[in-house]
Amino acid sequence: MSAALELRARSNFFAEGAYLKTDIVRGVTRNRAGTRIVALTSDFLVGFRRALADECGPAAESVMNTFGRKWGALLAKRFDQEMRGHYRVPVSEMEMPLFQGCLAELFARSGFGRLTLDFRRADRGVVVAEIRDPFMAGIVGVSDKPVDAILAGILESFFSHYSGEALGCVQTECQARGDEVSRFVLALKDRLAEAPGWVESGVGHDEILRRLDKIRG
Amino acid sequence: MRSRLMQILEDADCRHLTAEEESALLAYASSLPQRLQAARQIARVEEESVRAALDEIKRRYPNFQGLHERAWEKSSRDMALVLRHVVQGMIADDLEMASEKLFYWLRTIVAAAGITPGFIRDAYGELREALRARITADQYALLEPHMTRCIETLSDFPEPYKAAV
Repeated sequence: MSAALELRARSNFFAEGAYLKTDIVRGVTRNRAGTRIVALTSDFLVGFRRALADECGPAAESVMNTFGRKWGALLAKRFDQEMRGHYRVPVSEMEMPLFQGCLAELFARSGFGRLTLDFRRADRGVVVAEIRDPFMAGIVGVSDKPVDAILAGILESFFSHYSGEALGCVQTECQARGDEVSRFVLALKDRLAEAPGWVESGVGHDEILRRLDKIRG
Repeated sequence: MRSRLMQILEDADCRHLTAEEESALLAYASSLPQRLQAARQIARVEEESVRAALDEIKRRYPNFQGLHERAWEKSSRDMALVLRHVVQGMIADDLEMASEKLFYWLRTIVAAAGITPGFIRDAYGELREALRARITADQYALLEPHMTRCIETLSDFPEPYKAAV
């Protein structure tokens, strides 16, 4: 056997053609691990968002963020199971590049947008997540405030799960606000306490990172 | 991702095939023996082609070994995996199939590992040359567009902020 084959081949769990199967008779779509998948249309998401705004008023974004956090915790648990089943290693022992590749594919296959992680400030306790074409910004249209609270919640739970720390996540840029991509800053929750206020008052992403550098976790 | 056959049948939704569609289908069907023969030959020379490509890359990137655990073993494994997907695309005559199944995912991984687009272009360019030397010109003509698309797609990511090659 060649040296190449001694290492386990690592196929893409999310590969096109292999990831989703629909039983058209039953009307049931499952991914290759058996998890049932339901498609949500932009109509649903717009309706969901409007209903929350009607019911909760200014608290709607916060409710969506909570929803994202709950969803993210479940998503992390499922990601653990599915990755362990496919790659035969726990996610916690996965090589970082493989983890990033699979997480980006999970987001893309879920229709969340294209995720890129930036670990340049990881030694200072800050990770930046960039999402191109995030689902909510894509359907809300123009907004003067960041609108990807669900994704912020998902990222917060996801990275808290894997870091074992209580992380926070603040959206600093948003495509719906005219930014090129949506950006999110992840750091210890206490350290991010002031960040939502900075975003609210118009402080930019780079300046927020500079300010966070001065607040050590 | 649609095979040539499925693409033609889906385009002909609710009607019979046109003469042009029949011709396209027959042209693809008649090319299948050559595609399969090329695939068999590539499978035969895969290991030595990968080794030849990596020998050249080892010479050009002497630091790579020290920057990644089991660097060359993993490179060899991934190169073989990529080649098998390239070959599947060639058999199906589908330039997008391998990207959707493997390349978009794999390029996120190589980018996250600090590998540069230039390294990918060099490594898979060497693989393309190693294969060219080991298969017939007709077989290479079938493979080449898929190998070129592979190199373009796999290397289409920004320079890493800290290169590890």
